[in-house]
Amino acid sequence: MYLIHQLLEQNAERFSERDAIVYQDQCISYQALADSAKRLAHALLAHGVKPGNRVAIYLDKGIEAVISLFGVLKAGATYVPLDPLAPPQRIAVILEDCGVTTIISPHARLAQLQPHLTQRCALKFHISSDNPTIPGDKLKEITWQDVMEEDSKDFIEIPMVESDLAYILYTSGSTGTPKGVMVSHRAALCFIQWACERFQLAPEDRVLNQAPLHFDLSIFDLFSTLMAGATLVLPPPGLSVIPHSLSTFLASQKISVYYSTPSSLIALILHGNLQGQEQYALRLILFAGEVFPPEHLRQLMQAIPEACYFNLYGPTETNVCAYFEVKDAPATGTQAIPIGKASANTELVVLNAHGVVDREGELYVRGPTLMSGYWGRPEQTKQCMIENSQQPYLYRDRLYRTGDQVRRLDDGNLMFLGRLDNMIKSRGYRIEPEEIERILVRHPDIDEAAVVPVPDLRIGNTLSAIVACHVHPAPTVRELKRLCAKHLPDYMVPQRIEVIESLPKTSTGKLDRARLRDQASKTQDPLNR
Amino acid sequence: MTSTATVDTAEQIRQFILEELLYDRDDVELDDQTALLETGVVDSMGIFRLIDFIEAQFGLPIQAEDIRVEHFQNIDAIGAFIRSLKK
Repeated sequence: MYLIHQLLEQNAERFSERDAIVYQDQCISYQALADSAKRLAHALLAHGVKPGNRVAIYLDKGIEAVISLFGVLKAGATYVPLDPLAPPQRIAVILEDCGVTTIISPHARLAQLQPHLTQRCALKFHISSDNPTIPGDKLKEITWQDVMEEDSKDFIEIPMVESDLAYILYTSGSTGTPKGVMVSHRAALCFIQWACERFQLAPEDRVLNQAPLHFDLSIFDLFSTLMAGATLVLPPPGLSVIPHSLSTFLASQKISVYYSTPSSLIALILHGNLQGQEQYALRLILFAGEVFPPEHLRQLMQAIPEACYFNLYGPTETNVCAYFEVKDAPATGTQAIPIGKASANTELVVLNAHGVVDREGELYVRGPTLMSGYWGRPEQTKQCMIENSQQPYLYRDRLYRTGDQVRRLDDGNLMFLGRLDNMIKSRGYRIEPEEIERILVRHPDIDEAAVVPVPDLRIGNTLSAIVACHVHPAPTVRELKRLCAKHLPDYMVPQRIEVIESLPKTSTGKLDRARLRDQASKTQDPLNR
Repeated sequence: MTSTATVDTAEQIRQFILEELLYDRDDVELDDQTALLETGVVDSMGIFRLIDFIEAQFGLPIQAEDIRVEHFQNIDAIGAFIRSLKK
């Protein structure tokens, strides 16, 4: 097996009638999932999709979305999952950035997108997941029903190799626009297989897919689960809003494996009534994406003592590259949990400011799970995928530069110390403050803007924007928030915006972020804890 | 409890939602019966901001077991929930 969709095809034979996906009152077996994916692949190829094309999946979570991922992969194309909650402007930027030719979405969602698409847009083909085609559209369009009626008997396998791209995930970019992380079949499969074996996923497991499909935590849920012949349970819409509904769902659905950011788990601990009467089948709880405050982890481990707990670490660019099993919650104190040691086939290198291996410094990662680069951004790729000067004879080997500062502990585990740049983590999302700042200064009355993190026990950080304005009266906070929300997903809209006359500068004339961070932490609104 | 107080509670909740959670949504008409959870007006972050607001504004601590769909599904329900806490 060297391509990720092959895991489904293998298991369609081994576990044909077993439930692959459960969503509300629907379920689909391994065999039916593989058949449907094949029909979609057939339809894509029949309508001109070529291997290597980018196909966007702009669907809410559901069985169709999972069929779509596998269908796109089987057609030899690359899937680009889009955030259904992001503003259409941002989605249009992404579609144009990586030249998406085909999109699978509800009809209305595409209609909302169309006014924002420019000449650069390469979109030619739409698969409508709901309404039938409306004649007169410039795009060629078929419906999901047409796809499922495809006769795929004469489907010919597309020749592919493991270095072909499987998917592109977009993350916040410090240049002001999101950037696409290209992940090959080899990189993804290497992680998927490791996770499946390391966590001993088995056909009896029921794994909840908490993470959105455009977030890299979902790779484990989707692919490691199906590689094991286990069942993936998709949450009904809005399940996470009420933590108590989530804890009841975990119990009633007999979820055995749960993977999310600490933020979702913290909501569950604080408000999910975990100590209630429910019986949980949870045997494995994984978390990643941000630092888990130890006091909350302690509470969680007391509430569900039967489960094993792992802290996973890895930016989207490397997949999970380090992990740490939390055996005992720290009894007291606030000492953070290590990010641990390298996962299989991966090497973690700590280099100090002089580029020499040291106990403390920046973390570099090498191994087969690394991304292939940022789509259409060779310069940015070069900046973070650097030559391995530690082993010059490995002339083609590359190290990924994480921008994370770490310390190697005596037992070999790594401890995360902080970021070397301005990146902010909130709800597990990576946020480049520059991306938000560029939006704020689009307002004609705003001269300068800075976005800084305010530490928050529940979600890691909240965002606070400080803007300089020369006009009286200054634009209202509501107006500025609306401007942000037009271009940015909800988690990137600052919760607090303060208007001042000019931003503080350092002696060298640079924006004094440290001072702004301190001020923002001190003046935070008690309601915006 | 007078009817004026009831109106005030609902109005304060409405103002909070409009200002803090609905600043970018022109497509939602917010009345006391508008579904808050299914429509995504209140999401997983919004619910905590709303809880923090109720706790701070009305001085009422909210227990985990009280954070239920039936208490937060619309402004009427939140109002009734706050009144029950006050008792």
